[in-house]
Amino acid sequence: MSILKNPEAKQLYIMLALLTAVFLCLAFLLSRLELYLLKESIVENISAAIGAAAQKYPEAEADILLQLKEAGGESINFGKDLLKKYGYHSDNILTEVGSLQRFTYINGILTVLFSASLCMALVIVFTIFMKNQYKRIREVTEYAKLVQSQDYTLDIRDNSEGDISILKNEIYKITTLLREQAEALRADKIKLSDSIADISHQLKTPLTSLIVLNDLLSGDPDPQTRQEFLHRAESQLERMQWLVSSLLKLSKLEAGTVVMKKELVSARSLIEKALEPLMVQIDSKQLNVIIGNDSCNKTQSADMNEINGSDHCAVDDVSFTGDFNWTLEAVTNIIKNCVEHTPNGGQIFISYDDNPIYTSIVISDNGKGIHKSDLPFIFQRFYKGRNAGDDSVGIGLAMAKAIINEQNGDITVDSELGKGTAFSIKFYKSS
Amino acid sequence: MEILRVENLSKIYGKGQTQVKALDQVSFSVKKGEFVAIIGASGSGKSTLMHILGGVDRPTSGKVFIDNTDIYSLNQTKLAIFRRRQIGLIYQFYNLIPILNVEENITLPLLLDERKVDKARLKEIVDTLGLSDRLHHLPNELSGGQQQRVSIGRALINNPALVLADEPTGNLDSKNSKEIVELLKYSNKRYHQTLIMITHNHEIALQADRILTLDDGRIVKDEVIRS
Repeated sequence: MSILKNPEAKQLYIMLALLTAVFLCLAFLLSRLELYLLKESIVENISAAIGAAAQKYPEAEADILLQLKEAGGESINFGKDLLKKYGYHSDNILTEVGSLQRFTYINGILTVLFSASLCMALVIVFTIFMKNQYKRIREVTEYAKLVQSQDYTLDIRDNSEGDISILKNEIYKITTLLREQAEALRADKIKLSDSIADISHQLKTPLTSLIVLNDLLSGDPDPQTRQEFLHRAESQLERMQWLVSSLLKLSKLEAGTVVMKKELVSARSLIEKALEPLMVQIDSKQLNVIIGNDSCNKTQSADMNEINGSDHCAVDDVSFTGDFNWTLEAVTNIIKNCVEHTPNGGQIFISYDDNPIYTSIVISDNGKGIHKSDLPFIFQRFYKGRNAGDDSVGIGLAMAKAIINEQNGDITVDSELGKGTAFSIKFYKSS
Repeated sequence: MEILRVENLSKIYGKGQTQVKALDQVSFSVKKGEFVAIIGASGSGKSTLMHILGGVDRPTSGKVFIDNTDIYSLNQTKLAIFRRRQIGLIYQFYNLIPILNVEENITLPLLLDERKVDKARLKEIVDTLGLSDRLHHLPNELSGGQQQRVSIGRALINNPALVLADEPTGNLDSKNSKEIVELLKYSNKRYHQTLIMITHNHEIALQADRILTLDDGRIVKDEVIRS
């Protein structure tokens, strides 16, 4: 029974059972007592009646004693009529006959006492039970108050059976949640101030260059030098523009304020579009790009369709729900990263697959690889690994990760120095 | 936020010359939401460690704090209840109750607490695990991979502080193994569920965020692969 799993309820029922046993005994004893008292009264009365009759009419002694053994019908009626003549009948016999009167009185008192003590016992037991329950509820309320005033130190769990213990457990979980949220908030604030510091640091460099160039230009140099300075200034300005817009995008993504479209995105068309702006670099480094499904063999490139210098395996396309443009940017950034870190003549293999849990796109290369100590950090904003070029700012991968995370996805990286790197993107299917 | 702290844990069998130190002064801690793999050769103490973390075997010395509770200071009854509410266990050999169907096996921890099942949460877990059309099947009507998925559901239903998986793929073929590890990773990410997994398979271990290597009852390597 589900009530009995609560130890307090068990206690209560045991108490009630004990009470029942005690009062049953008491009732039994009481009835024995009353029987005794009644017996005494009746014996008194009968003895008196017989004594008086036998004393006056000794010859009636035998008849009277016969009736004692077994009351005969004729005598009963005669007796009753006689009693009626004197005004005694069954209705008032208890109150008119002296000894029976006493008995009735005692019987009344005992009955009242018994009922009263039974009631009192029940009231006491239930009051104790209720008090305990409310005390426990107050305990939980006190705990809730402590948690409200942000004191998370008390552990109210008591690991017992019962609904109140479960309640305590659940409230403790809420406390943990609050504590986590408070910590996350603090971490967010630190992250925010760090990112502001990062941004201003990143902007300082081109700004300094511009200040110097401006200074030099105000010295009114010759047209050729002036052109050169202006050209340099232009590239710094472009850099700053790109930096500012990227950082803005990244901030919005990390703050979760970007609204991603929910459309059906074809992995194949996504990958093809992503490769377009990179074709120049791919061609100049003579990289071999293969697109296909996981089951596609890398060496099958010979008899496949060739489009823009990349090879296809003739396999089914795979789709997932997401935002085409944003995902395009993420995928482009990743492929760009691979292209930049793969030496001439290297290979880039892009595959996609689908299973009941997620849709995946894997982009791998056989380039320099990433050092083990860099691996946990490469998706951090502005992180520059050992092999990063001087020009890269370290936003591409952070942006890609933020975009993928916003679409219920995840990106992980596997890499070995000298062998290559593989980026796995997973878009999970359940919401 | 620290969810598990192990302090100077030792498990010694026997005495004197024939003494065997299954675990020797092991100390480490795990933060909430981490996915940790414990690898080691046979006899390195992995299973012993797992049993002690799960509260099914007492250590010889040392302490285990799960969610700030010193679990070995609790008596048997309270420890059993703590385990029911705070720890999810996944075994190599599934250990489902054969006379209960899939839904009952998954909600077993709740049924033992005589609590009502949160239908929405059950549906979410069942959908994620791909078991929606097998809710009323018995374990002997399921494949190995499906049974293991039911175990995962059972481990997750109560939102425990810690999920311990002892060689969860040991009894499965490679395709099912991959799927199970992916499901565990997904629940780790999605529910911020702390997961500690024992495996002897390096490839599977590499799927975790952090690898602890045990040898001869001691931790010999503690490596963070991804953050």
